[in-house]
Amino acid sequence: MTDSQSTDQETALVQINGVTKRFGAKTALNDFSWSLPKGKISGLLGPNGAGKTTLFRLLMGVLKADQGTLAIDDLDCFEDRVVAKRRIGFLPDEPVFYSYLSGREVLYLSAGMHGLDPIEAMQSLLPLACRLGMDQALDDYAEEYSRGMKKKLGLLLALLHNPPLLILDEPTNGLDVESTRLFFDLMRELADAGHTIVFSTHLMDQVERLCSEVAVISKGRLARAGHLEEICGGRSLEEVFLELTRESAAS
Amino acid sequence: MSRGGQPTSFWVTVRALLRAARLRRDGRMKRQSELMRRKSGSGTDMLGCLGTAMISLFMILAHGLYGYMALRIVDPVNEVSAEREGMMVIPSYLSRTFDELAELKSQGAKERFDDELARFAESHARERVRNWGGDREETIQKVMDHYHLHGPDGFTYEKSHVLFRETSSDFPPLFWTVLTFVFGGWMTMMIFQGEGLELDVQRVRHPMWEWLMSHPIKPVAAFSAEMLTPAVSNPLYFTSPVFWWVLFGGIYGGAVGFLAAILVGIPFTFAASALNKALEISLMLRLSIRNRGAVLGLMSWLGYVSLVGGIFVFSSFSIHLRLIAWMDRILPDLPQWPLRTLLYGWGETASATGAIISGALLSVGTVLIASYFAWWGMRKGLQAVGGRPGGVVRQSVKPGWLGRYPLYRKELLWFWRDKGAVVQVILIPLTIGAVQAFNLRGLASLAVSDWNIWCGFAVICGTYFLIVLGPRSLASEGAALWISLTWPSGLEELLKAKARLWWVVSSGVVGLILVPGCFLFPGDLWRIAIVALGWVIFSFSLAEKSVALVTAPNSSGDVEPPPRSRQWAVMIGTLAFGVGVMTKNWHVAVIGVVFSSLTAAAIWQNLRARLPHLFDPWTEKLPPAPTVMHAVIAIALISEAAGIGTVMLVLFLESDQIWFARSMAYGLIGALAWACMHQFLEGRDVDPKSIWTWPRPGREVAKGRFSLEGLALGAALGGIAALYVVALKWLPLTKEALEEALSMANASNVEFFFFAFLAIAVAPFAEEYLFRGLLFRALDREWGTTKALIGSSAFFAIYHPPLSWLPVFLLGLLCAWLFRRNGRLWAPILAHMAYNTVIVLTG
Repeated sequence: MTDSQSTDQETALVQINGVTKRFGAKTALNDFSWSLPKGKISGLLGPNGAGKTTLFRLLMGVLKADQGTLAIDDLDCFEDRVVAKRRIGFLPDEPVFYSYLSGREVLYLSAGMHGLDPIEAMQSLLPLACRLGMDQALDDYAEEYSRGMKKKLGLLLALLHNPPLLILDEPTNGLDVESTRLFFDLMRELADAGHTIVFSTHLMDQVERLCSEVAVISKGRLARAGHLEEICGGRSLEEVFLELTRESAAS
Repeated sequence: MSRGGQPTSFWVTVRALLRAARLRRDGRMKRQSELMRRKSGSGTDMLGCLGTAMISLFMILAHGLYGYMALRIVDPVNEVSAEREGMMVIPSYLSRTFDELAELKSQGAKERFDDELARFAESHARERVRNWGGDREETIQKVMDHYHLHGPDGFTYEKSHVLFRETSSDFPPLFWTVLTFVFGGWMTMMIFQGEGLELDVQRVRHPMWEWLMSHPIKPVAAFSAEMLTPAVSNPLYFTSPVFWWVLFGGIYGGAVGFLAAILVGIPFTFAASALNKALEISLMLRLSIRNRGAVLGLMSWLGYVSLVGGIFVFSSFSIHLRLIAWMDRILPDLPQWPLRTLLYGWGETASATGAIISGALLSVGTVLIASYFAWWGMRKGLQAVGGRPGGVVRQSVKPGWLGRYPLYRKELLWFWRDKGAVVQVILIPLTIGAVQAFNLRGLASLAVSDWNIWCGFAVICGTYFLIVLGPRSLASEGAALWISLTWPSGLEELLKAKARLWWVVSSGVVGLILVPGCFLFPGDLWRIAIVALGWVIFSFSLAEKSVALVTAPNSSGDVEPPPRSRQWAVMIGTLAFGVGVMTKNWHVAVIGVVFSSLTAAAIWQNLRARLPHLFDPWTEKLPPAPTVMHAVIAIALISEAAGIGTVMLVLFLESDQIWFARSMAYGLIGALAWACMHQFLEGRDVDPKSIWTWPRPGREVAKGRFSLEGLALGAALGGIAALYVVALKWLPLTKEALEEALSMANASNVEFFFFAFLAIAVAPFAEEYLFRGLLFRALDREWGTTKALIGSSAFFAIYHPPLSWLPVFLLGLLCAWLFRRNGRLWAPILAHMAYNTVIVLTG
């Protein structure tokens, strides 16, 4: 199941071991283990309600695992969460912004809170903002952006402090074709530049096009994790995925 | 179910939506109580329920007062009319004086006549000055001149207890004008209160509307269901039939009043609720998001002012008179027929049936107006008005301004741009401050200068500024809280930064009011400086408390308001400092400051345990009961309730029976509090009896209840305290204050008995249970023994008169030490009893 993990453990940026998370009577994650190698794009694939967002929240230190550990760069995700934040850039599924700040002001705020000089940070981010087509809209209230623009602003926020790890929750959910393509290109460039990226999705082709590592999650359990080619083994990812999720439904 | 092209029927839609709302509310309550049970073992939010019950009682009082005010304004109106016609109104028991005066005049006894007249003028002038203000000497002269000019015919007697029904045709037009205002005030309250003071809910367009409108239903039906929400959520609405009951009951008798409450009161409740919601919805649809905050803030402020203002006006007869006289001068006569029809029907004679029917018609009319507003609001469709008008370019604020503190910049930008916050944060504190200033004017000692009222006004404004601002500033995060979680700083740091900013801003606001006070009252400069110092300490802890109400958005993205009990915990005791300053009662003011600091520490202790699990309340674990928080709340509730109870009892008794009132109040409140604490602890799976014994590892609990050690040490300390009192008598500084405090020594035997009863039989039990059994023990767990000894004893001392702070502090130390050593609460109780006995006997 995790055949590739032992060789990559030395270069794993993120280590997730035997994590269980319950909310009252409902179990969101059950004995989940995964490790994310540095500098690669990893995809977390699973149907809705499988536990993807829960896992990301655990990584962000927003939730505390009932059992098991999560570590980023040897920092415990919950106990050392304040320090760990310096290493993480996070994009949530549906970003919501303050109703009284413009996009630019949100970026200034975040830059200040990360200890960066806001003006300098904006300067270095401006090329990316132009590429995303956001530069004109930055002075409008962030709350009034369209869904795609909010995602883009969220991505800018995540990249502001140049973190080694990017956690993206369904990053292209709701984006148009052009923006989706842009996101893919960006992710590839970031990975080439040395960033580690993990994103969640329920769309096969995204994983096939971008990822080198895949984990399939279903009903809170890890169905399969490893290199993309090893998991697919010649078949299409869709076939493998359906087989795995049916298996876990049966068990 | 819709049949081929027709929209679903109105009633089907409304019923379905109401059921959905009920399910939603039940679901939320069930989830909350499940969470509570998991955390604390009990499913009920007792403090929250208590708070809601108290608010409901308060609302009933408000409605009753409005109704009563409407019935009783005849008297002040008559008085004002009479005065306007050049007569002076005097109480009827003074009629004998006129007979005597006439007799003396006819007998030619000039000196005695002058004496008698002067005496009459003086006694009447006292009342005139109280009602109308003005200089006492001048008023006396005026009364005497008036008598010389007009004789007894220049005076008319007070009428009282006039029932409208019998003499309705005798009322001057002014009466109907004033009555219209009273009724208007009540209507304003009903229409604008809505779901209560918007302290913690952000007004955004309901995201469900688009989903709702995608169904084949009439928009009117969808909104009708929403219109009932204020009626079921704000106690003001479901207690409003009381107003009609009082009003109609006063005119037609209790049975008709009750009927009116049902036939008019209930429909009107829903009508007012509908109108409020219709106004709110139409404003939300028509205004941009930032402006709508301001307008809605104004609306809820209006609702609030009419509630508080009504009670305030009612409380003082002189305010009645002055307001009515002002209305008489400024306003033209308003048409009589609306209120006449409402109260008497449309016939010549008063008719209960006619009145009730017109009341019901009023409800129908209100609903029609509500429908009009709903229609007006929806005319431009459901799109929110937003975006900028063409051509105007927005400028983002550069980070250079307050660049080093991005959080402060964010908060100030919010405050400036959320017009609703500005409106409420300025209007509400000013309103409350002004009301309190007038209210407590009577209780303030007869000082030459009013510096204490000025400072008290400043402090109360500042207090409410923080109370309103803190939760609103938390609500401004809303669902954007996730952004804060991506920063390398804990939530605690963010909340503290918020608190610090508002502390500074509120101190600036209070300073703005205090500084002119230095020029107005130059002789009291050092006193004002002490108040300012007290404010700085107090406001720091208050700011910290108000940001402790943080909640996370739930899984569907809604930001839920904090539980009622937590809101109440923050609010308890906040007025003590302001009230203390205003009434020149330093003792209360210092209590307010110390108490606030202690509660802030307790709240933050709980908060720190809660913060890491903000998004995950299922893993949250409460510290075991009773905590510092529980102890502090119990003490605060009891002292505030006992204080209120004493005041209420004093109002009904003569003022020299104050010790009877005090011991009764403390006794009753103490018993009630003990029962509540019992329930609460059982709910948290803690055996209430365990408070009385304190087993510790390595130390056995003492065998019997009797403790010779306790008695002896207590008596000894009592002796020392008696010597201390003697020492105080010799010091010139404290001599006078001591004489005042010991005025009890000259009281009657009965008073003395009650004082002794309170001191020996009631106080030791209550105080030891609270301060040692609960507070000291919880503090010992949190802060360690030494700090806990000092902290709990200091807190204990604060609750006694300042002169006795030193011996009481020592007593606190002794009792806490005894409790810890002995393991039974009886030891400190006996010590306390012995101490008090010695004091009482030697005092």
